[in-house]
Amino acid sequence: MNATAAAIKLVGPVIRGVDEDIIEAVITAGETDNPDLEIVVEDRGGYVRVQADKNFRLTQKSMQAALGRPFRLAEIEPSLVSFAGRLHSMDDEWVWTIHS
Amino acid sequence: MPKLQRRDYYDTARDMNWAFSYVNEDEVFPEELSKSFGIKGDEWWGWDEPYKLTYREYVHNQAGKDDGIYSIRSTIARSNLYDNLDVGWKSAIKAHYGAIPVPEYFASIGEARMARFGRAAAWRNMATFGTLDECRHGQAQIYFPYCLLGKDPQFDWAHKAMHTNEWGVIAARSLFDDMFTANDAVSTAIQLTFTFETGFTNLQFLGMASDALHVGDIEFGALISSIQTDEARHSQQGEPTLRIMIQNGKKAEAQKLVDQMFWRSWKLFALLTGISMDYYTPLESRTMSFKEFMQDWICRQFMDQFKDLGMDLPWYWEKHFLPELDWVHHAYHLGVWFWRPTVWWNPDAGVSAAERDWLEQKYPGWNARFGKLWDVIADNVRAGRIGKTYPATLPIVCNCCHIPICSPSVGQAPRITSHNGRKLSFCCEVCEWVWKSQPERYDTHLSVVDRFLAGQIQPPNLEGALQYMGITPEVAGNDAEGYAWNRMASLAAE
Ligand SMILES: [Fe+2]
Ligand SMILES: [Fe+2]
Repeated sequence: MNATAAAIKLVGPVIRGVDEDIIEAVITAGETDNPDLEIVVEDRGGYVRVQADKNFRLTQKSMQAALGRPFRLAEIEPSLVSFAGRLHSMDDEWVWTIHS
Repeated sequence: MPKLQRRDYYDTARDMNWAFSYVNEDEVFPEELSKSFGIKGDEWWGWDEPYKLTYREYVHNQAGKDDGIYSIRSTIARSNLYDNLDVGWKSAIKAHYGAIPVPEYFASIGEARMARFGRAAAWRNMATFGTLDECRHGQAQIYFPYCLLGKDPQFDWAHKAMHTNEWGVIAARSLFDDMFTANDAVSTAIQLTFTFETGFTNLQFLGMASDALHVGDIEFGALISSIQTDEARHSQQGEPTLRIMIQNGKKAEAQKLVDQMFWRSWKLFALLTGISMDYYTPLESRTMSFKEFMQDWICRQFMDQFKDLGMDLPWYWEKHFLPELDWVHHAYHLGVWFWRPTVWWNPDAGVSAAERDWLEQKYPGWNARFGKLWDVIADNVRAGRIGKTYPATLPIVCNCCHIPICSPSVGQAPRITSHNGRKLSFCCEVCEWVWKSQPERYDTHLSVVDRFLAGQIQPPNLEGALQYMGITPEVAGNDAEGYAWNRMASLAAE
C-alpha cells in the first residue's frame, strides 16, 4: 500500500446483495451525485460496497432518475445493510463522511 | 398521503423534551437505569440521530422486509435446499441459531430500557424502533430453524440453548447480560449500539450472509442480511450518545465503556464467527478469511468512524488484539472440536489437505502452530483410537469471557489471581483488566468450573457435566463428516 492508498478512507453505503435494482441504482446515482470522485464498487456476493474517498452523496433526484420511478430515500432502508463513515440523512439527500 | 415534507414536521413530532417541576430528574432517570455520567438534563437534548425515520416509514419498511424473508422461506420450504447443503455449513447455522435468536429478545429489553430511560426524546424514539426491531429478529430467527426441526433435532437448540447452562451459552449470556440485559441506558448506547452493532454484528450477519450466497443457502443469507438493515439504523443511537459524552468532558468514561465491550465482543465473535468462517464454511465458498473480514469491518470501517469522533484505539490494540487475530479462533476451534459432545452442533474439523493449505496461506505459521496438533488427532483417528480424541476432563475457563483458556503451547498460560480471597482464572491480561475494572458487576457470577468445584455439577464427571449443560444424546455434537476429512476415514470410523 503506497502513501496515497493509505490516506484513502472509503465511505458510503453497503447494499444487500440480493437487491440488484437498488445496487445498480446506487452506483448510477452515486456517479451522478459525486462527479469529482471515483466510485469504488466492491461486490462480495451477500453485500456490495458502493463508496468514495471521505465523502459520498446520494440524492433522491438521482435515485429516482436511476430507478425510473418515484423513490424516497427512506425507502433505501430494506437494502441498506451497513455503511462506512458518518451518516447525515435529510429528506432529499444523504451524505456519508469521514473528516480526519 | 400527507402534503407536508417530512422536514416540516419531523423535529416537532420528535422533540418532546421538557424540564421537570413536580419530580426530580433522578426520579425520572434513576442512575441504575440511566447513568448520567454527571451530564445534566438539557445537555442531552441536543441528541440528534444521524439516521432519521418516521413511524409511518418504519411500519412501511418493516412490513416489506418481513414480506421478503417469509416469502423466501415458504418458497424454499417446498425444495430440498437444506438437504443439499454442506455438513459444515449446517453446523455454522446451528451454532448461529443457538447463540443469536433468544439474545435478540435480550437486546429488545436493552432497547426498551433506552426507549424509557434514554435522556432525550429523539433517542427514546429511535430506541422504540429498536425494541420492535429486536422482537422481529427473535421471531424470525426462531421460526426459520423451527421449520428445519423435522430434518434435524439439533435445531431445537435455537430455542433451548439460552435456557441451559451449556458452557458456550454461559459465555454468550454473560456477555449479553453485561452489555444489554443488565446495563443502564447510556452505557447500552455506547456498548450495544455503538461498539457491538456498528462494529461486530456485521461480521456474523454480513460476513456469513456473503458466504451463505456462495454456499447456496439463500434462506439464511436473505434472513440475516434483512436483519442487518435494522441494525444499520438502530446502531446509530451510539454516535450521538458518544458525541454528547465527549462534548461534556466524558471522553475517558466513554473510551472505557468501548474498551471493555470491544474486548468482550471480540472474544465471543472469535468463537462463533471465527470458527464458522475459517473451518465450517466449505473451502470453495469462503469469500474472505475471518481475519480479512475483521480487518475490513473492524480495523478499517469501525475504527475509521471511531477515530473520526475523536476517540482512541483501545489500549490493548497493538499488544493483545492484533496478535490474537492470528491465533485465538484457531485455538478455540481445536477446543470445540475436542469437546464436541458439549456443543449442539457437529464441529467440522475442516483440516483436509486443501483446507490446511488455505489456512497456511491466510495465517502463515498455522501448520507449525496448529497443524501439528491436528496431526496427533489424525493419527489417533487413523489408528482407530477415537477414544483418545475425546476429553476426559473439563478445561479451565476464563472468569471474564467464560471461554476455555487455551493451552500455553498455542496461546498463553492462564493468569491465576484473586479478588477478596476468591480465586480467579483469566485467559489474558485484557480479560483480567475488564473484570477488575468493575468487580461489582462480575464477582457473584460463577464460571462453569467454579460451579463444578462448588459441587453443583453431579456426578462430577463429563457425563454429569453434559447433564448439567442440558445436552441430550440426540443433540450432542460429533465430527460433522464422520471423520471423512481424514484419509482412511472409513477404517477409523468402524
Ligand atoms: Fe438484532
Ligand atoms: Fe440490534
